[in-house]
Amino acid sequence: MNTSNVQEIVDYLKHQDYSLAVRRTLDTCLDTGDEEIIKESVQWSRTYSTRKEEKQLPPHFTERATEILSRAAAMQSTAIAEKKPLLKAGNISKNYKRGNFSLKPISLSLRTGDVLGVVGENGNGKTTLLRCLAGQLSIDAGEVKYQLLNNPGYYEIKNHIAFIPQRIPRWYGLLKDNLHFSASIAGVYGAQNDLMVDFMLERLGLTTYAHLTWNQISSGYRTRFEIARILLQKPKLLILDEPLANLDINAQQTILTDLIFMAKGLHNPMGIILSSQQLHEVEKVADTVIFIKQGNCVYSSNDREKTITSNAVEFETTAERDMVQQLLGRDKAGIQYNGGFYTAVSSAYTAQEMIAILVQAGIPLTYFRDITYSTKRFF
Amino acid sequence: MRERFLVPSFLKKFDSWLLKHTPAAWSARTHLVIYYALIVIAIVTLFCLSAFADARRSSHAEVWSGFIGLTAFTGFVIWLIYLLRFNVFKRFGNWHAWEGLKMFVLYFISIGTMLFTVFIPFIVDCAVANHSYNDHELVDDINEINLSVCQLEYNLLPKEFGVDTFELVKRKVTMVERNSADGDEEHMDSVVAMEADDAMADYRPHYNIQTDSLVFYSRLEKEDSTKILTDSIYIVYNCPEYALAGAYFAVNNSPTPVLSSFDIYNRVIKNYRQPDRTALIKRMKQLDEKYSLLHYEESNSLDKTYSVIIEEKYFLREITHSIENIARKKYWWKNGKDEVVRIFFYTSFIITLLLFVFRSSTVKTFFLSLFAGVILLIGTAICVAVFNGDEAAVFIFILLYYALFFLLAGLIKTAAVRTAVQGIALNFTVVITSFIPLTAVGLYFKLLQTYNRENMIVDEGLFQRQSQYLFYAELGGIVIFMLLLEPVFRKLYKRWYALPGE
Repeated sequence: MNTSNVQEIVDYLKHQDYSLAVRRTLDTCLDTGDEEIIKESVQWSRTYSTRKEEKQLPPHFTERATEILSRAAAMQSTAIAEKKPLLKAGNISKNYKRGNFSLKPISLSLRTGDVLGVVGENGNGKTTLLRCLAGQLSIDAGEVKYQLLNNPGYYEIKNHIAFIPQRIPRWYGLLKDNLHFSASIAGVYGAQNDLMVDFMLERLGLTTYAHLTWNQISSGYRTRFEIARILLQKPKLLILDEPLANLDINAQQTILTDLIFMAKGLHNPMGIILSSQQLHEVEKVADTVIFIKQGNCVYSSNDREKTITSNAVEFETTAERDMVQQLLGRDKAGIQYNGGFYTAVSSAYTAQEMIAILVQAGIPLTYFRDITYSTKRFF
Repeated sequence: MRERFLVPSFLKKFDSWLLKHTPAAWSARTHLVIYYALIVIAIVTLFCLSAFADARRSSHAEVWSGFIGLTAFTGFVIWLIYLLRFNVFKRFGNWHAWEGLKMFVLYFISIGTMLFTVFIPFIVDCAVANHSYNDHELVDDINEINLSVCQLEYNLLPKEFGVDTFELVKRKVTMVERNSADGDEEHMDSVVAMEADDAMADYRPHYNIQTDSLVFYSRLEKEDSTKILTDSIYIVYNCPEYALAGAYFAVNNSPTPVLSSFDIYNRVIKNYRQPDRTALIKRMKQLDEKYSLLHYEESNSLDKTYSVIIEEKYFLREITHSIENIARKKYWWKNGKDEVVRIFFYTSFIITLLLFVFRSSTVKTFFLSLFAGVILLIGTAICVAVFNGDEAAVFIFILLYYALFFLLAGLIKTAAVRTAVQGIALNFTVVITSFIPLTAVGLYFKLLQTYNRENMIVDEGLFQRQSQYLFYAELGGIVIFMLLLEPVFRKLYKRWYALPGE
């Protein structure tokens, strides 16, 4: 992160996208590693948070931001977080002794700063795969290498990885105490512990909820607090099972964006593996997406050029199916109707061409999306 | 934000400091346990000081101890709930070396502190009694009472000594070998005493009582006077009972010797002089007021012995009862020191062990371990009963189980998958380790006793040596456990817990 990042944040401020600007500024200050500027950025963020409800900016907000950013830019090295090999799984498979399900051999790899999305229908092996990668389940065949660790035991592996399950275990006591505790067991003590907890609360927008208990917050905030707790422990590999399940649409976007920024940051570059049913959101942020069906990895976005031989577009219209089929040509495109949406697949047309044909014919379109490289077409 | 009840700001600051510097110590909550225990101790002590102010009354310490025990148990349950919230063993992190040992010690301190509250009523009782009456006072007063009543009631007292005659008889002792139908007979250096009644020089046994020689000779030492008529006939003289006031605990624990009936005989009866009755009666009233809480009603019996008449006249039973109460409280610690220390230590230690195992293991494995323990206990009991085994058999079973569990637990080092069996074995190993030296020493002495008995070997120092070595084994077991706790047990627990499941 360097001056281009600073310029990006200045642009956010210019376009009054203050929330994103504040979060990115906090990231930028964290990457400097300077406690003083991190502290100042947290205080500055608080002034924004307290005034946010009143929909007015604190005095000298932009000036202060510019000052902090210029100092941060001066402190930062020009180095970009180097991507290091983090995880390599070769043909791992898993059979449960009880039950018929089995995970067929899957290979994948991950570097620091990379995001791997795992998608698939319920009960097809996403959680099994994630738990195998997290060292929670034994594998029957294949090998998982944690490439940053040298001949590790399972304790070191578990310390290296953070796994957030779909159902987050309940926290007891004050939320803030839990965060301090997590930071402490990660070796962050004293004033630095205070600073990092304050930073994480501010960064994830949790400051006003810090003095509450688990029962007093919604499931969406529980997910955010769990992420904050995990991030304080500075894992190198973060594995999240359905993290978006309890979040509203805005929170989904925010959390995903935040995770990506933090994963790619200089402070603690990490790899992220996440499973989700929110295909578009995952595809938007993931460097690689794999689709699992009945325990098999049927698609990987790394091999999409080899796997995808046709183009696909998803759209919603009030027009009759026969009319749509006629316009696209029965021999050039196939049409499927599923859950209120049409999916048109064609080797003859690109996605843009199919949309153009429908628009030019005056077909009313309320929604369309190019899903040529999306896992959506496998559902 | 929820505030903890009655927690001052300095403790809040300390709590926050612990949270941010030593999370393991913070999560043990020992600082809060000690703080709340101190409050309970202060309240209970104040209450006991006011309730137990009169040391002459019967002690109600047991009742209050039971009540406080319930309170301590409630505190223990609350503490357990807090501990489960932050189970540090189940959180992966950069833990310091010896963190496991530190946690074990903190748990022990917490449990010990809670358990200590149970002993407060006894401690207060003891302190009040010691503050109110010094070590010499009780026995001095008992002696004074006995001398005074004997002077005042000289005419009522019996003057004749009781007489018993003993004859020593050598007899055959039949030794029956175990598992042998034939008995071996041999002459033993054994003495049988024949007891007679009222037959001084003219020895004629009134009735025979066979007494063990050891009992007889120890009785001889205590008798007031003995005459040896021949090599085998002894006449012993017993002084009438003049020590009408007395208290077992006071007599046995005071540094001042209590006057025996024979002493009183020599001082008062033998050369009797008319006392100053007025002064003595006045003094007796003072002593009665000093000790008696109330006066019992006199019995209606027409056939009262001299002792009953005197006891009723001078309220000696009431005085004795109070002195006994005082002495029981005064010497509570002195008499029960070993038991109290052992009860305190082992209760705290065993609860700490179970807690350590519970927090290090999984909930399922912990309860499976308890279940397995019960099954093993029943199985072992059946085996021992069926094969007519003794303590040695039980000790051998324990040692065999330990070897097996230790081996299974050791396999965790090379395991690739976490299994309940290895977890149970590790739990058992941790719980049993401290008691293994004790079991081994117990087995050794049991076998030695059996050997001695079968070979007719008399080893007079055996019991003393046994208790000495058992004590060393107790200490050694604890030391071995503490030494193995971090480098072996905690490492195995960490590895076992981190292993992937099936």
